[in-house]
Amino acid sequence: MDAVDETVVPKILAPIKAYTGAVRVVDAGADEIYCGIRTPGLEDFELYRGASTEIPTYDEFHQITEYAHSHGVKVLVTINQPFILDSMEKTMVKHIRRCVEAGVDSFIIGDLGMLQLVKEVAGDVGLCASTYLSATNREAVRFLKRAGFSRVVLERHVPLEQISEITRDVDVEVEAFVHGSGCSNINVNCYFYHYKFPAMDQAYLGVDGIKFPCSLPYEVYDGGVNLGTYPILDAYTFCSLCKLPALIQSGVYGLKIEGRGINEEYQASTTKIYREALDLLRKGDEESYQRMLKNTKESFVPLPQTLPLTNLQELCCEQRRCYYTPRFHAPYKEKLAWQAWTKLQCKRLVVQP
Amino acid sequence: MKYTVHAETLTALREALASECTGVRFGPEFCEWKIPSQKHLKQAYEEAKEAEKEFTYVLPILSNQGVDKMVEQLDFLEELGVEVVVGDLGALNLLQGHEGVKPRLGRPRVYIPARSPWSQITRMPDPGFFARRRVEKLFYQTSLNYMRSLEYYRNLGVVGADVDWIPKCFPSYKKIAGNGFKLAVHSHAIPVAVTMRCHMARFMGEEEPTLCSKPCLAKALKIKQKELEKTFTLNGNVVYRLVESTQREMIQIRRTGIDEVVLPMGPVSNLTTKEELDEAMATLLGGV
Repeated sequence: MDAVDETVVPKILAPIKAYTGAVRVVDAGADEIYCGIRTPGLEDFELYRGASTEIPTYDEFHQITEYAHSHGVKVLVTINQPFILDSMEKTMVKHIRRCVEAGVDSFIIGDLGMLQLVKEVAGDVGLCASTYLSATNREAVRFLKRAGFSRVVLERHVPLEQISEITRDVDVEVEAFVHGSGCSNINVNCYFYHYKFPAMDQAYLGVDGIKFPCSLPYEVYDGGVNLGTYPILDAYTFCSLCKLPALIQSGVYGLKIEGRGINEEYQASTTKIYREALDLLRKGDEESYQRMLKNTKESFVPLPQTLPLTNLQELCCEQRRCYYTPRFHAPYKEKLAWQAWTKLQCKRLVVQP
Repeated sequence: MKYTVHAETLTALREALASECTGVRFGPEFCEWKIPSQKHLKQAYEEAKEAEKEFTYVLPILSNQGVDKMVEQLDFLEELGVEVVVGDLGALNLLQGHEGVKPRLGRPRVYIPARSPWSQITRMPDPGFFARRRVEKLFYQTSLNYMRSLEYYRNLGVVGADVDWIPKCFPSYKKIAGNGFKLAVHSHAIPVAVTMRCHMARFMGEEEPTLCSKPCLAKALKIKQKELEKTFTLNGNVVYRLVESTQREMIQIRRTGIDEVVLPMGPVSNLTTKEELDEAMATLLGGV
């Protein structure tokens, strides 16, 4: 393996939800960080993620940008709503201005109307198309570039070979997701909102942490016949460590780690692992990269380490929960996979007496 | 009021053409692997023309492969000068410069929070009456209820959009229709989740998209989450929640200024024959 030109090594984008987390992921080697900020006036209308995933104040956000910028790290703010309404405009204008004042480098935007607003209000700031804009093909990426975006986050379902086609065909920065709980469905077309519902609380005896309806088991009926109970909607994805060489080859600009809602330990340790792997690949050190992969898979627990979970090998590799497996490929018919997944989902049940 | 029947296959289309509908839609709304060949598209158009029914072509969310298929059909679509429902910004991009084609936004391109199956619409633990009302007001609107978005699409030549049969959203539809944007309301089923990692294909043991036997054309699975007490319908790569449409709601729809109702054919709606379609239309029309 030859050394890779520094300029083609993708950036690592790490999630944060607090200043302390920002310090940790920057120190762990993130090239850019992204976060949401609580929007005064819209605190109650957060469809996908809870308050715990957001930076609570603009002051804290300002601290984050200062720290990040002093380390040469860009800060992106995601405007969480997949849409905006006339009645929300004033609130959003204030929010955008406060973010700009606090030093945001780019906004991640999920709606074309919002894009017009940000262009008008924010001036010279980076514009990144969110997965809410569902860029699943090269023409959609072209469209978004023409609309004024300088960067496009691809929909999680875009296969690896198509990422290469897109970066080859369209001259715009392209980000791809590499690690995290993934999504079974297309982000903007999924209305199984990810936060705690009373019914789920009841179903799991008040156990927090089970938030994804698409990962739950469903009784499946064909006509009147019960075919059994399966997590039939569960096409989750987790990890891309093995695919990093191909991702570098794909010409992708940024590798995005999911997990704004997960704890800082996870955010920092995942960033560190991807940093180490990318650095080895940049040097062309295939042997060390393979060794690192093996060690990581055996030791890394991709969720809070205080929990008695499986390692990456058991959780991801053996269950074939890789981000870039073929599209129809999912493990839900394999009994072992479901047990492991249940174990993960019910993690707090496992640790609590 | 236009009654349009949406068919994904030629067989279904022929039943639709024999019915009392005013127009037909042809093509997959959500799955790119069901995009018809140009030959079938041409055939569908000609049969619709012969039956004197308005013809609309439907395109889903696309990958690069879907884009390639669409590119092959572009000149032909231009020649036809029909409306094309696009589920994807890439498809919309391809239609730019093709003056003869009138794009409409498909359901995947219109965000409606109220498609969600959950009634818990605020994360506040104990919202007061006014807070709840405030959130509800937002919840029952759509991504086209922002003037900048609507204008943006209009400037791209988009003539209308597809929405769902959600009665609490009708007032917000009225505002969009009032701005001269044509809206079509889909009856029977609301898409709750759409994937490109087809849930049904995986379940049925399909291994590769290009070789998929498309079991979704013939069957829909009921999926029931016991603890959540929710039942959905899984058809191909879409999870639906079913809705019943009443005559009273039909009257409300007319009052919003919406001029088209789309009835989907297939295993989700169980509308497969001319007779079933006519009966469904008669039931709805009874309220008008």
